[in-house]
Amino acid sequence: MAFTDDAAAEPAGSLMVSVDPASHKIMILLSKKAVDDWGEMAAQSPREIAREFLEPGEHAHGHTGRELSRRAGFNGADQGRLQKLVLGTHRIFSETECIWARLRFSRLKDTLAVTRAEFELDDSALFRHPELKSAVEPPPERPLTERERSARSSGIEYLDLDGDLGILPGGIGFGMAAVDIVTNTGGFPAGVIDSGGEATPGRLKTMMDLILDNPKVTVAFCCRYAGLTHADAWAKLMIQYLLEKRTPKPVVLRVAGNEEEQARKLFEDAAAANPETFKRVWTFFSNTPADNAAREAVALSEMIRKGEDPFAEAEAAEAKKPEAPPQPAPPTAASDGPKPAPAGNGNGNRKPGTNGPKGGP
Amino acid sequence: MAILVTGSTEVMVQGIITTPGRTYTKLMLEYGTKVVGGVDPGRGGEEVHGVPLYNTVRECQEHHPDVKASAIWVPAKHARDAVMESVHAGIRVIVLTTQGVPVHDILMMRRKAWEKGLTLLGGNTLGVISPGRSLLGMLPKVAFKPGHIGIVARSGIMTYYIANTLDLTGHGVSTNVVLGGDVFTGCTYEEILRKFEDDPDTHAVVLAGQPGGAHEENAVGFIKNMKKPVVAYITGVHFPLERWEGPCVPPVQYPKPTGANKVAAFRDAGIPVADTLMDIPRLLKKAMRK
Repeated sequence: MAFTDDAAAEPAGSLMVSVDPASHKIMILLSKKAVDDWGEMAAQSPREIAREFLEPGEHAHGHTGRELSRRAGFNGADQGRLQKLVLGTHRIFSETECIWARLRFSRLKDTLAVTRAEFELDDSALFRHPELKSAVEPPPERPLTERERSARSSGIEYLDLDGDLGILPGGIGFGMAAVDIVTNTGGFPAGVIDSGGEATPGRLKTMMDLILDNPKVTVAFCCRYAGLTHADAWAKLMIQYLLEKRTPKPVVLRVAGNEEEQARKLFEDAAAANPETFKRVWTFFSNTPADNAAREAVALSEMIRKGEDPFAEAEAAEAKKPEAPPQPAPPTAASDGPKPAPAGNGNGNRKPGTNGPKGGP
Repeated sequence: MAILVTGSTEVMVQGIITTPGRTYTKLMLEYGTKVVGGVDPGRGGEEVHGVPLYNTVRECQEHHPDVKASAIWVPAKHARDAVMESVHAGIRVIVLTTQGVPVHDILMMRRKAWEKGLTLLGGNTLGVISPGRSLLGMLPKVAFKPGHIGIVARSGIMTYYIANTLDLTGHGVSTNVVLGGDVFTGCTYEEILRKFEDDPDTHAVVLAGQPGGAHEENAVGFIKNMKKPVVAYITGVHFPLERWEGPCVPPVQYPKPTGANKVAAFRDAGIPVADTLMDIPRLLKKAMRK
């Protein structure tokens, strides 16, 4: 089968070889149409597509191509031509370990000619195909915002969004959930960072700066589930950052996992020693549902959006409060111990002396 | 009873001399997992954390004929060889933690494991834990308390949050299974749900899904016919996936495998879907009352 770049050639059909996400088999699709979206075409005009499934590693045979082209409505002579095209494409697909291959072909005089051929290689398999590395075209980069570009130059994946609540969720697995939770509780995410893995002072600073230096952001919501890492190590870095940054923006933290109690103690001590900085920091632990911590952040952002000062009431209450006798424990909510948080109420760890955000959806 | 791993399951570790292999073998031993052997070619006769090493899986089996499960920490280019060695030896539960395994390798390994009736979790999985009994992989013990809710998810970290949410409402976990975060994995939701359905220790199941692939959609038909209650939690509903560079997904799915479309597929089938984490215990309670 020939190749042509003759734009006037009459489109004659399309071929797709792909790994099928549903069956995990190799799927060969053939159509007489010029197909742009195979999924949509298969759903909406299934009769326009002939399909064949092969087991991974199984060879395509001559009859595979002949039968496919017959079912797709090609005549006898074209069936022979397409048999070769199907076999050849499947062979390249298998030997070079593609994720998918798609071709368009046109009628050129009395034969068929390929007008476009695309092969999506599996990056993870390129170690077995070093000869292909130079042939790989980088995928078209999505348009990045200035902040996204800056994050990427620091090796951080960040997604800018339109809202006012910045999210540092740990890995992007929970990041997607955090965006959903914030949205479902009436909030508007301003951006989310893929912040999984071990934190370092530099990396944490870069990530927090990305959030807090964004003028759209009014509140930061940070979650850390230290499953394979240590919550106290993260807490130390976060405390150090907050003391240096002294941001006027509220920061809502939820910390859970390994060494959570040590992390709690670190936050308690930091809050006791630095009340001015930490009056803007809400700390939650595993005894408060992540949903409720997110709700607190959403409620704060809502107050700020409405022009209310989330600290005013707390500061007024603090000013009116009679001098309390000395207490044995530092006056932070975190010192209440890991008691079960009341369901539907996100203030299980709220600091005494502050009322925190009100309301919330 | 639990599924896949119990307190009596004998386990081996392939790639035990790698840094993560050593680290997580120690973690598993501390948890009480019966790690009876490690496999590393050319290192037979040595020990890691008191665990004897063997050159091959078959050699390990000769010394420990009851070994039924394997956790694998090897580089991606050796993953196929390591998994196939376990498959050929008939190891029943294989946990492939390795990230970046070539897609065609996964397809082939999955096929071979399925033909032999074995369970292959991963690649890119944190493994499986039956709290208080056994851990196979890298899941943190701190996240999971024993109980009667089965969890199956593609993302490991989501299972920490789900287990934490269940714990806050008085529920524990019978077994927590992570299929792996990739678009193509060694095991389906259905294979795990089938085991939960047969497990007397599991009273209900939470299925956590995410955008990409067809894992969740494929499970809908089976869930509809399950006797035990299942609650789904699908993330990424409000996440603009088109602006995030995830793994390459073949452009052949319709509707597109977005979080919202997956939620719609479950709800259309009458399967309860939680909108937030705290919705999960609420829906479980409702479903278990029926």
